[in-house]
Amino acid sequence: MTSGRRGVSLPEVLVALTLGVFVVHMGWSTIRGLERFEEHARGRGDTVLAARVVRSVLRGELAHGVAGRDWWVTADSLSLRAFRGTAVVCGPSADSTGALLVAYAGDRRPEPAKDSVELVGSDGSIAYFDLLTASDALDPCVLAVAGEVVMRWVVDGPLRDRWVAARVFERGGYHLTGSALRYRSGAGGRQPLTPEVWDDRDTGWRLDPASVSVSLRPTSGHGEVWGGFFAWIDGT
Amino acid sequence: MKNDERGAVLVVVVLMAVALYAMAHGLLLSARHALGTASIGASLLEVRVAADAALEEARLEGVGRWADSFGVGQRRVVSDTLPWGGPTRTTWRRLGREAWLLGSTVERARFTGVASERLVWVYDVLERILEMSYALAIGPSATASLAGTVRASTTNEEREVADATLRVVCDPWWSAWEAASVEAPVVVATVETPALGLLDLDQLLARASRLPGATGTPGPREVAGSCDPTDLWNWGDPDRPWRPCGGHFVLRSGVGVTTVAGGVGQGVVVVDGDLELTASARHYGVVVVSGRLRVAEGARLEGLALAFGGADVAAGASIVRSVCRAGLALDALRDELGVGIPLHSAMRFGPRGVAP
Repeated sequence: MTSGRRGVSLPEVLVALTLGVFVVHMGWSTIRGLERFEEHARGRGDTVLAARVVRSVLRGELAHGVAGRDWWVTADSLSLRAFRGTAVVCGPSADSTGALLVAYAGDRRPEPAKDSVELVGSDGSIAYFDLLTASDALDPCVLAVAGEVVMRWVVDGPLRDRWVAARVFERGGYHLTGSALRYRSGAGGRQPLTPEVWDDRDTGWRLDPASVSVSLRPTSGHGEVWGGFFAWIDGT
Repeated sequence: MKNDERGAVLVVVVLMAVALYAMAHGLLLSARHALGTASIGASLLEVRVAADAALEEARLEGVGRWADSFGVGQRRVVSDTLPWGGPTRTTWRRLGREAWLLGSTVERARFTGVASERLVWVYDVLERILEMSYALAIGPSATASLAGTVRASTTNEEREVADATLRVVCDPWWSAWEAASVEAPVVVATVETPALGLLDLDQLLARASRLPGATGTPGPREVAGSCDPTDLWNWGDPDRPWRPCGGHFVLRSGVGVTTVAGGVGQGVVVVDGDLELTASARHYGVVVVSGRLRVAEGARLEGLALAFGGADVAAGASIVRSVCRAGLALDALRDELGVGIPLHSAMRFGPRGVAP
């Protein structure tokens, strides 16, 4: 027995195929769109994060120093004495060797190989010395408080009796190269501090006689140019 | 009726929904992470600014009388709660007679110990008088014409009997301390700048009340039984310390030639120009003059005089060093002069930390 009904398989298949392709396309487009949006959001987030790191790190570093004395900006870098810790001067070491007894606190212990010392007098006078040796001291220091280490420092210069405080610095430099902010300690390599998010062609230090700032252009599509002010050149 | 139709639509839809959900969830996590780091950055900025604000506030307030009994090495911690920053601890740490390490720490949940530090100078009365061990100081190239009396008190007895009121207003330890600390006060010394320690002329002028005219006669002014501080020529009542103006010490400034014609006063007078004391005027305390100081016509200055442009003391007039008088004036003017002056020009002396 044969059926008298006529089939519509071909149109059904065509409609089903069309709808299927449409649905798949929509789904694929949505997924791709989400991917692109996520990538953009991540890129934008990285850019904002990098700008925040630049601002935080550089403002912090420059606030601890004085322009022309502790830091200098050139076309491609910021060279500085990077602050690493403070010390209260307890007085001359009891062993009469010309060493200085201090109560020190900082990010890390002073390292004579790469650190210098700034001594501040009770009248505001300032002197810089190389740190020759730094070791823990057994002598008591009445000025020391919790969290400070009493140390014995030998520096490469004559000491006077009116030093009241000291700071430890290391030689370093910040560079805006390779699409990121990089720090170079002494003669070491440049270590990135931020994600690589900037277009090097339009990113760099802004040289202004009165202030130091930067201009950061993110790679395309990840935000606008960000200009950040960090410090006045003529002091605080 | 049995349905033999089979399809994968449901499976496809479920898979796509799962894929979309996974991606959306990833995006959400990414956004939350970015928001979290931004929030931490903003909070840290707030805490840092609060620490700086607390430190600046303390610096401008300076130290109080409690510092007199404070030895080098001692610390004073003041706890406060800033409405915009949370619990704050401000620490005054004495590193020298006039050098202080001023720090502030803001405590807030995950940012315990975010701090700011400055090295500041605050004048100490005894240290200033020890440093200023002279009756009159002039600039290196200035000259002094001393026809009258310029002398440093030499004995406790002389200090205490020179003026009967001294026994009323000065503790005996002032004299004893000077005798023990200053072996031989010089009469005329040379100084490099017209300043009280790190308080230079500009800072002194900025803190002093400017006199309304170039010439005047200071004296006590009482209104309704109390001292009238609004009258800028009311320079206290050193002759009658028991009166309402007896404890009134002034910080006054003048620009150009300033003439004190008669009268009596006590405190610190700062003049960017010349200062003249005439017509038996008497001043007890400290004068800092960028120009020339002229004391004539029986006028008397008792305390310390710093005249960078030189001095003329006419016959019959006198400048007498008095630790008591200078000390009383410097002690009384702590609120005006005792502001912490940055001892180091860096914005932050320490400690290291994340900054805004």
